Amino acid sequence: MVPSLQTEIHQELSRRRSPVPFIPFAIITVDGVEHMVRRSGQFALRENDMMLLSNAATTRIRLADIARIEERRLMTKEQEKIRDDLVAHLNGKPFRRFSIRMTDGSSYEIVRVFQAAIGLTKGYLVSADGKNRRNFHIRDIATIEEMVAA
Amino acid sequence: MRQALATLMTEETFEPFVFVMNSGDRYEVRTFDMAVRERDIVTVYRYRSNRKDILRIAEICVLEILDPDEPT
Repeated sequence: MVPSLQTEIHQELSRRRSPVPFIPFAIITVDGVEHMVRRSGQFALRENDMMLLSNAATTRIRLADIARIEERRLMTKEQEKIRDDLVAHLNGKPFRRFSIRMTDGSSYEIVRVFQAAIGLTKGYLVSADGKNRRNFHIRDIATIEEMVAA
Repeated sequence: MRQALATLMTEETFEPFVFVMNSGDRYEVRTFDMAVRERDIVTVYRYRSNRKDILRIAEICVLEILDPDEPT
């Protein structure tokens, strides 16, 4: 790799190290191997020609071996839509009761504010009677439906 | 505190606020989708993150009401 390209890769990696929110990306080396970077601080740049990436084990990657860097989405378009829908329901004014049906067939009625919360891709909810609680991932949600007032 | 929390965390009276713990740690709740309230605990997600903090209500020292127009 010509030195200017290597500098460019170095600068690109420096830029991607800790933006808020962090955007996951993949480093693809010239031999076709893909290394995912899922969180900020997962890699360190060593001098100008080497980086350390901590996954299951620490991997050393020569910057000269990097073919390209590609952004990776955390969610599919459908999952993003479901997340937006859930956020809209949770923040609706006035609040309207709704139910969340999961892909495993279970269903939860959300009848008050602060009964469910969502992070970037994961969430937590408590059933209406307070007896069940559940951590979930956006991909676990099948549908969100507004409940019709009795 | 429990009563104040119950009053604050309703739809009608909600204003963005910060939990200040006995330890001095601060946890901001700006929108309804950031927190879940249970009997003895509150779970708060950090902004645009999957990191969450589980707070014991008995350990909350101050409920600091934020100005909704104030930038984060």
